[in-house]
Amino acid sequence: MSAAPQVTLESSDGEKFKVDKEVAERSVLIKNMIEDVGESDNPIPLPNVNASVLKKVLEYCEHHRGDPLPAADADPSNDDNRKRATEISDWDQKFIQVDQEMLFEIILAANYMDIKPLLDVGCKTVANMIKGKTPEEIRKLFNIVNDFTPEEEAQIKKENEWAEDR
Amino acid sequence: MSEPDLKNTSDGISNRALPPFIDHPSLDISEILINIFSKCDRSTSAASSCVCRTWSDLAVDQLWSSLPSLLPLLRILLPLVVIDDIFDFDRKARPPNWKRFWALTSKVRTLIHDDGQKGGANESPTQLSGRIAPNAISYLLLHQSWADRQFLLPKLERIEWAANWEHSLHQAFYFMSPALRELSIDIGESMPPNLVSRTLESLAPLPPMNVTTLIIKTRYPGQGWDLQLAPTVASFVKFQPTLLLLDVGGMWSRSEVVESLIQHTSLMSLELLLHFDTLSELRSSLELLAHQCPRISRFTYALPGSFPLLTPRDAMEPLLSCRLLAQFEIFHHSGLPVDSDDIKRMAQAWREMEVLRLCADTTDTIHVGTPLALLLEFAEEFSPHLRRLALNFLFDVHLPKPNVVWTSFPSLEILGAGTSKPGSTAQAILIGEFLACVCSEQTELAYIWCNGWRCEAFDTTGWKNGPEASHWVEVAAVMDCGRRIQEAAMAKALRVNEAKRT
Repeated sequence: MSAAPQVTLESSDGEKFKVDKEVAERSVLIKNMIEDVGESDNPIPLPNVNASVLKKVLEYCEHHRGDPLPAADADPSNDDNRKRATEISDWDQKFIQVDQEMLFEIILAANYMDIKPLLDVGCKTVANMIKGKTPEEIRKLFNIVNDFTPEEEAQIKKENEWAEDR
Repeated sequence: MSEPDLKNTSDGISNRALPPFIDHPSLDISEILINIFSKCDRSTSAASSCVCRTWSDLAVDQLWSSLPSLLPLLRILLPLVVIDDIFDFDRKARPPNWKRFWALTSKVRTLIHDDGQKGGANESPTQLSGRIAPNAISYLLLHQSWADRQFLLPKLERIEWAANWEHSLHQAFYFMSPALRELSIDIGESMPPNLVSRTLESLAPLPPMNVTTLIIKTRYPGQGWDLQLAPTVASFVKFQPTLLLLDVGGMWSRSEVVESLIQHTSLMSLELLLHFDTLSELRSSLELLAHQCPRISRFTYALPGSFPLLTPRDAMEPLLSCRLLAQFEIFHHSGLPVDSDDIKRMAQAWREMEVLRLCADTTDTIHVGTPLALLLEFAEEFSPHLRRLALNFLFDVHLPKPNVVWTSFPSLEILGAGTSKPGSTAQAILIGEFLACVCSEQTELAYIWCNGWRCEAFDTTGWKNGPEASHWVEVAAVMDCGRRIQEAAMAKALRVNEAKRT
């Protein structure tokens, strides 16, 4: 039996992960790197992703290894499709139940490694976290400093008042 | 204003190298924030816009990209007042804020406007529906020319405009842009057709229009005003050769709309409400359509209640040359019955067919239909992509026994039975046994269900509560039972094979 082709990925803290090529290629970044460099035994460095995050990201890629790849075209009608497709599956929901720090690390890694479905799951989770919250509650949740003057904030609030829940 | 808690160390001093204002770098990256805001509802985007400067610009971009009304935009420029149920600028309130107005106009990609609701005595910033004074629009246009701006909303891609009073319709056209791709016009019953005609006539030849989706519907009672308006709508369509989708299924027309599609070889989707009296009118219109729009993939037409019984020759045959047809739906009181030859011809012509609706469009009992046994031929001959099929069935023919059924649908999701009804429980059991064999594992049944102005043939839930459908509920139960028996039989056969091998 011939084994599936494998590649080695190296995290920012030097840990090496040997995974099936098909799994690693869920990442468009890695897919392009393999295409550019050709197959080699050298590990592919991922200097922006540490081992604990990479492990988690690879867990996602492993689970979704057979999924159809998202279309990369920029058809405007895809906008609606994308919105509809943002329901999080049960597995993904469980997968993304991590602490806030890890959630943002996964989002960052998915953005860097260009894994759009994972990025969407992370962003949808953040969108659910802020849903229905006031600006002050959002700032507290994510430790964001308010850099508006009170007048500026009042002005922005007034401009967008039409969109608030009645 | 209260400050958020910073992450402190034991000595009270933050020891982390924080970006200036946001704790985690991912919340400071535009692409990620845009992705998050694209998944937020309107009120969450509004709250996000007040969080901090980094968030604000991106959340405002998202929020103002899709406007449910023109009124919020007008309120940026000047406060509004309501005079005689009409919104106008309060020009004495303060100097107009043109800078912010123009900044926000450049963000709008979708605009919805509905003037159905009257202004009310007091202006409220959350009111989104209302009539806008012609003077207010003139004021904008004047400043547009002074500011040397070509378009009020330069990036507008999609507009949905519901016009219910005389000044409203032509106001829509002041907001068109070269980026516009989708135009949807909803004409209220109080709009005189001659006025609508004049407006459409004057606007039809105006460049630049690169519209790919056009939807026009009216709310007129009866057919008279629709038919008066139809020729103008047709000439408006004629001036839009870039159309890919045309939906005029919400207003009566005759052959003029099809005749107007002379340059529309790329048209892919068409919906019509055809006010014809004879089969030959229908046939010649469909022939013309097939000739002019050979690449059509979705086509729906509806006919009046007085239209004669349909024949395949007139209602379907002219479209056999449209090889890409993947969705074909007819709305006619008795539907289109087909025989074995028709099924073969349709199947050979339409290799991409996914949705085929030929059932009756009324809740009355219909005495014409397709013999149920012919489902076998549909299953065998038709494209494996067929996901939805609705027919009126005849049951007075012999049904093959389940053990001689030789084929089944690979991917049929919904089988619509139109208005056809089994006559008794005994018949329902036979039908259920047959369908359990010929349908795919996931096929659900649907019975005609009128919940609105048009009857739904593929609704798998609503019909179950109606009194008309009681025998179909029995059929569904027998189908379910039959599938389980089949599964058990297959499992048994597997076990026997396994045992033989060992």
